[in-house]
Amino acid sequence: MLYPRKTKYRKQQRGRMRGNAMRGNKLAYGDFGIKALEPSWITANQIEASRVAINRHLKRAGKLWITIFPDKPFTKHPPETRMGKGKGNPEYWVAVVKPGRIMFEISGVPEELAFRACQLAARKLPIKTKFIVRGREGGNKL
Amino acid sequence: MKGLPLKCEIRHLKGSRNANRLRRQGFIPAVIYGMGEDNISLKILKHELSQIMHSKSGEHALVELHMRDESGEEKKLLALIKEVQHNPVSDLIIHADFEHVQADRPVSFKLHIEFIGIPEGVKKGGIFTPHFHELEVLCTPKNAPEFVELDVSGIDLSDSMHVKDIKIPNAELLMDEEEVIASVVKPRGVTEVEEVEKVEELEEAEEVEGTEGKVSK
Repeated sequence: MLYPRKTKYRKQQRGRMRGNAMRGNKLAYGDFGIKALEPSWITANQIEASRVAINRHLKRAGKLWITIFPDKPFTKHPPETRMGKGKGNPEYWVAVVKPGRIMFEISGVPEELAFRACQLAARKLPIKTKFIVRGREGGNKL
Repeated sequence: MKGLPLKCEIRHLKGSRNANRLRRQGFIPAVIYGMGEDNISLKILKHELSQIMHSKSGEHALVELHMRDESGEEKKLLALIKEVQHNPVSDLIIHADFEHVQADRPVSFKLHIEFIGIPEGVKKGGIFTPHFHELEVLCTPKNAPEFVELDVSGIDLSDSMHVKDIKIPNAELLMDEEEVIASVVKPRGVTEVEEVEKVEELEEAEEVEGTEGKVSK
């Protein structure tokens, strides 16, 4: 599972997810990619599930890049605990994703194979996404 | 390289509200600058710009702008597509920047790379990974090629092609010589599997040796 090796502070404020992704919205490495169409927190578990889904479908062919990293700690109060007594303990890690953000990139495989792999990976994510191809406008909804 | 013809009109209405209105009508707001002259705001038909962007020159093509004024006068200008802005979500073109250039004055270009051939390493099970899709060069627009064809058939497994391996006539490369353009990498999963198999084979061999030793005793 992905998480930072070391952090300066253990807990973070939640923040807002307004606007679109102004960085990381173009394909940087691969020829195909998954683009987010909604804002959301993507957990490390969801990223891992998508990675496994893509790798299983590609059968170790091609190359995969994960272009998001879960560097935000998510805190939770333990069950059956009264509210208060300070902020809860970090439970898991999330990546802040805004609309337009490219989350996964693939290269070295035919388009049909990459599309199906992205379709399977998109099912593991909590947001609407689309499949994009280098040099082609628009993209297909997954 | 010859400039691809592109029709455009000079626009006087500026600001985001007017730009959005233009986009709804099927135009793209654009601007041309350079050569020490004042900026000129333009509007271009969306499908005409898209056609040029999908040509082999790619996003940084050389174009011959046929600028038409309100009075109907036409003026021709040679320009480079400097930057094209896209909507981050829909990926549709929202604005274009052109740089006015002279045919015989050197300017920095971004040339689209077209990889040809199947690398040797891919035939052996490797994955071809391009690190750059454009090359930055300094040359005059009239001598610049439309795109660069790179023959990658010689790249072996775990081998790469560098900037120093590329030669473009009448152009100077503006990139670090040691920069990798494309490489063929081993698929990670395959090496893992091979390693596991090797370890299993070694273990089996050790077991066999051990039993042989016992028997001989």
